[in-house]
Amino acid sequence: MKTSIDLACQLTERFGACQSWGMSALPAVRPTTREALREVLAFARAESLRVLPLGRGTKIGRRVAPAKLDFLIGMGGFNRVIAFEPGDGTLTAEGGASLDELAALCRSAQRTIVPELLPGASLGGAIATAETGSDRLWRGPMREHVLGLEVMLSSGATSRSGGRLVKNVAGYDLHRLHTGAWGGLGLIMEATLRLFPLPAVERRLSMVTADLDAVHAAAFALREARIPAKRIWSHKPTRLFIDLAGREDVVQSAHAQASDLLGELEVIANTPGLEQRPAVVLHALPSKSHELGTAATALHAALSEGATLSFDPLLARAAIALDAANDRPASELAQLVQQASIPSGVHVSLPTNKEPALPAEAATLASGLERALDSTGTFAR
Amino acid sequence: MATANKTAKLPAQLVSKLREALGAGAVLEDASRLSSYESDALAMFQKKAELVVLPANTEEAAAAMRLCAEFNVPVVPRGAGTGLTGGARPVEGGVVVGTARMRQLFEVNETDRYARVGAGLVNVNLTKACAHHELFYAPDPSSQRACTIGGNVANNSGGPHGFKYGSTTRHIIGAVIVTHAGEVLDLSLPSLDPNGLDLIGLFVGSEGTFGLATEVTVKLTESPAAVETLLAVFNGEDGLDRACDAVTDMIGSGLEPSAIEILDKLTIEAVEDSVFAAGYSREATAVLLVEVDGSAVEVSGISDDVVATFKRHGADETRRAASEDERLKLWAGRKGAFGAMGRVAPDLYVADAVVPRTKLRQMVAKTVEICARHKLKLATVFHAGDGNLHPNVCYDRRDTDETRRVVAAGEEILAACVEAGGSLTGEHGIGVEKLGEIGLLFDDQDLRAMGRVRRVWDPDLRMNPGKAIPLNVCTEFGDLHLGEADKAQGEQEDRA
Repeated sequence: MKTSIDLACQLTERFGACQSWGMSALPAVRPTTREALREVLAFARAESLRVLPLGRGTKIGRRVAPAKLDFLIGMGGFNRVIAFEPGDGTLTAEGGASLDELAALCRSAQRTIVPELLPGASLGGAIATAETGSDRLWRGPMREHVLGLEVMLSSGATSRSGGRLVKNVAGYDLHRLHTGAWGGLGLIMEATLRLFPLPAVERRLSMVTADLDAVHAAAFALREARIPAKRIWSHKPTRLFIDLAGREDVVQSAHAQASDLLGELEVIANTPGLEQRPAVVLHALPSKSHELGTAATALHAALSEGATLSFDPLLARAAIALDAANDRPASELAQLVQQASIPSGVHVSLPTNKEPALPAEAATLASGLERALDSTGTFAR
Repeated sequence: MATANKTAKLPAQLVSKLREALGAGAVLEDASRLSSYESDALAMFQKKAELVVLPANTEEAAAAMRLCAEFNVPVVPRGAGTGLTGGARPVEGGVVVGTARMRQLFEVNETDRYARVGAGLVNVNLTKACAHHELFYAPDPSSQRACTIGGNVANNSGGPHGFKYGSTTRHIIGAVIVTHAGEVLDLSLPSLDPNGLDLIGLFVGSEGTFGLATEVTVKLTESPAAVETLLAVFNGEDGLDRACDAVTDMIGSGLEPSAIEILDKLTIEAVEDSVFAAGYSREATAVLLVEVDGSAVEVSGISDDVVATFKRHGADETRRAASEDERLKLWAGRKGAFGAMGRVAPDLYVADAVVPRTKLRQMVAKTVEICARHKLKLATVFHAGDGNLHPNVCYDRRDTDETRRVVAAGEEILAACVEAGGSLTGEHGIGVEKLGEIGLLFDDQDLRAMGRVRRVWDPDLRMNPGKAIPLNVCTEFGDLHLGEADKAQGEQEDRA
């Protein structure tokens, strides 16, 4: 076994993504074998160090800073496709695999995966963060489509749950616990996702609207009329988008119905890069959507010209992205959020902003589960 | 870890305190009433219940559970008892806590599309209650006229429309859970995403071993604008093979119906001889039932493609339900299939296994071969779209030799499905029935992690003992503190 000193010497590569937490660049290791990974975890346990798995670092600034973090474990070395079964509707790959590459593989066989995220994420990172994709209204959240996981616990033992099947209720669904746990319970080694048929046609419709009230009204009118849409959203306050996907006849019909309801709709290209990675996300239940939109608009105004607001009324979700020239430290964003009038029931996700407290019994249960899977507290939470 | 009072007769003081807390009418003690609780719908395994309590609400359930904790007796949660793996009947004595009186519909929220219900609400009654909002509760087990939402949560139940809408876990967003100690864990606040760890996602499918759900917050789904039901009849010796191939083809070509079901010859005959007669052809060796829902245009387009697939695989007859009555009649045959099989033999062993969808044909043929070898009468009806097989063996449990052969065939079928890359269960759970086989799917490390999670919810292992995962994986380190157990395991790994 390697000594702690050997492993400490590997912690030379510095990684700067944690600067959004106010931390200086952290050391990182990038093992490529399971044996090496176990050694790294043993080293961390022996030295009482706190570690965090890192996919491609695209969402690291979106979570609350861990109380203590000593080094990062890059998972990029685990990037193989294990089993691609388009006929069975499943894909199994290692946690460090590129989600973009997996999506491209699926497209080659007329299949698609959920979620559809901005480019750059890893499979394990997407699962660990349970990130909402642009296809959520249509296909639901990612946690519904993670069919099974293999996770390496801090002890070095592996733990599998679920499987490589679209339907399976054997054993406890530990994969539901790891999905959205931000790597705080274990390292995602392998994951199986449900596949969907690639839509034959995708079409983006657009119209100029007066304000977010009009966006909100249009979205709920489309829902009331049961017009199937992949996404209904606005980009900057005054442009409504309706993304349609599916069979050609279905898209055509939905387009016609939406035009009957809202008036003339422009067909525009699905412009890549229209959205940027958000710095602030507001979310609520759909009944709070209007209040959420109002709060997000005020916050967006406070961030001046270099900020972009996206609003999904039916998901009650708003995201504010900042241009590079308008980048702000998390503490300043937190201050602006504090000054804004955020209605009750609307939650704001910021690196400095903790989620609402759990009821005491739930918090006790959650910490018990954390201890059960990571008794040495090796994973930073 | 305390050892639960598993074998001793229940203390009289516990019984009297339960009567005091719940009222005498909610505590069942006499043998004739207890006999209904000896088994669930898997009649092969029976065990006399010592005591049954039927709390009316969360507070009463918590009071009952606190008393069970005080007297250290096991608790067996039970919904309607329609499960098929022995999950809702006692193994190690104790008190059965039934949710039958918790049938409340607390709230239907049309805008946020959720409902809050008592765990004992019958599945189909929820959909009926939401119909005027043009919303429905999507999971639809075949027993939906009797099974409860709480039971569905415990087993992560499926149903024919799971092909499109998924199993129960995709539709549960909150719950009120009474813990092993009788504490109330309120996770019912509706939210599109969990706040912190997904405790509800973990709880669903835990087969009553984590706690007793007394209230459930479910997601409601928009009722489709249009629905069409289609039928293909396949005759001849290769009828079942061709029906399976048609399903694999449909999925491979990316069609997305809402349900894809297959019935074999014996099932068809049983249905047609029963009150559920659906007008299936008696010449048929397989019937393929497909439902499509969505917008009118979508339904029409997909249905045309489905019919074309039927024809490509040589369907001897295809039918599109021309009216709502005809559609319901076609479904009555499928939904009533298990009941209809009572005509074939006094008992029915409903197996539940999953296979990769590309292996449907070979695995269906394998189940036929296994049952023929064991000289058993097989009737197959299954969720073909999900690869979820239900080989149903018709037998008479009074015949001990036949019962032995049923058990042997069931084990062989499960092993064959796992060998082909499948699973032990798609929607019924592990229960008592498959506990011995779970090692086919999960190794010791996997099970130990599950065992540690179970002990967080239920440190004394009093919740539904003998179900879901073997208790020995939860107790292998004796009374060591969990942290030490984990460390010991880590050291083992280091040495490896």
